[in-house]
Amino acid sequence: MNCELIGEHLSAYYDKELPPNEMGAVASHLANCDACQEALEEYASIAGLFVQAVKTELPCANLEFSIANQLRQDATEYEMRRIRLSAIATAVALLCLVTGLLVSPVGRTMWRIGSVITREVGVLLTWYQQSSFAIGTIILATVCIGLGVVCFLYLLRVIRKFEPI
Amino acid sequence: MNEFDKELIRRAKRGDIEAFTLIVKNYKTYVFQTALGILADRMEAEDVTQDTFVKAFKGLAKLRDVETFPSWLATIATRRAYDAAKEKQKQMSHIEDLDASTVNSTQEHYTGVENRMVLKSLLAGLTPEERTIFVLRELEDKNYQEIADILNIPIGTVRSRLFNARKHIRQLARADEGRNEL
Repeated sequence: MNCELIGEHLSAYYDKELPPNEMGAVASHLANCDACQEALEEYASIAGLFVQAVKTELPCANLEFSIANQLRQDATEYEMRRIRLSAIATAVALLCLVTGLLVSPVGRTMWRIGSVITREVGVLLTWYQQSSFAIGTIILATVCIGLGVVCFLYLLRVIRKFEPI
Repeated sequence: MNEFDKELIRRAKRGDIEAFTLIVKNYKTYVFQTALGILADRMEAEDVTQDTFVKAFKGLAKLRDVETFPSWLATIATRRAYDAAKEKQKQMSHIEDLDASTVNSTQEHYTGVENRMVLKSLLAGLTPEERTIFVLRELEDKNYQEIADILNIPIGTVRSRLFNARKHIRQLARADEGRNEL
């Protein structure tokens, strides 16, 4: 093995990454070649110089705090997005529910149930007989108000959770 | 890695920023020096360090074995620094009319800090891939297989790139010696 052929092998030899038979071949060449020995020594001195230059450099002292601040900021933005999405989703769900109740058989059934209740307990609800509202409308309105209150409380909870951040 | 670090990582996995801040404190030098070795620029190395930890925090939930945290973090840092070095090289290649006076003044900026000068002169002219492989080998003490896995390249490429990097650094060192003798 001559110096030209040894090139890449010498680098791998230095890193002890050659198979045993090639390690032996390079070692025997090194025993008789000053130039390659010098190259090997240069590998070590370059590595030493490089490691020393890097290891003496330290990051700024408050790096962890700026990273923590960035993480908190990211968490806040994520929470903001979550609130916006929650509000939109709640509004859409409420709209769908009310529309669904009004147009679906459930709405009509509720209307009929309301009529039956009105007939059966009409005596007790004498005030109703003078009013122009059907009991179904009252139930529907109550359900909608209930849902509205639930949505409002949910949003309030999300906002309160968000505030301390 | 000690038990305290493992507990911190478990807490950080659950989204505890305070615990993660302590992890950053313990590992920031390790990440910073890897980035600095690849980029040879303090400011850029700090940016990469910050990005690495932010990315690590967001991906921490996916880390199954807390024992592998240091090597997992080193892989993120190396890839991030490697990408930054490639990006920098691309930007530099677009600056075609950069005159000699600008280059000289940029170099003079580093002459005050010996370490950075050493880093700059050692790494000048190496491709981002060669720099990264050199750093992983000499600074992180990774073997060829580990380097190949981190950079997703064949082991033969690691071997030849490392040889090229060393050859190039030796040539630069000799040229430097020649200039000093004159």
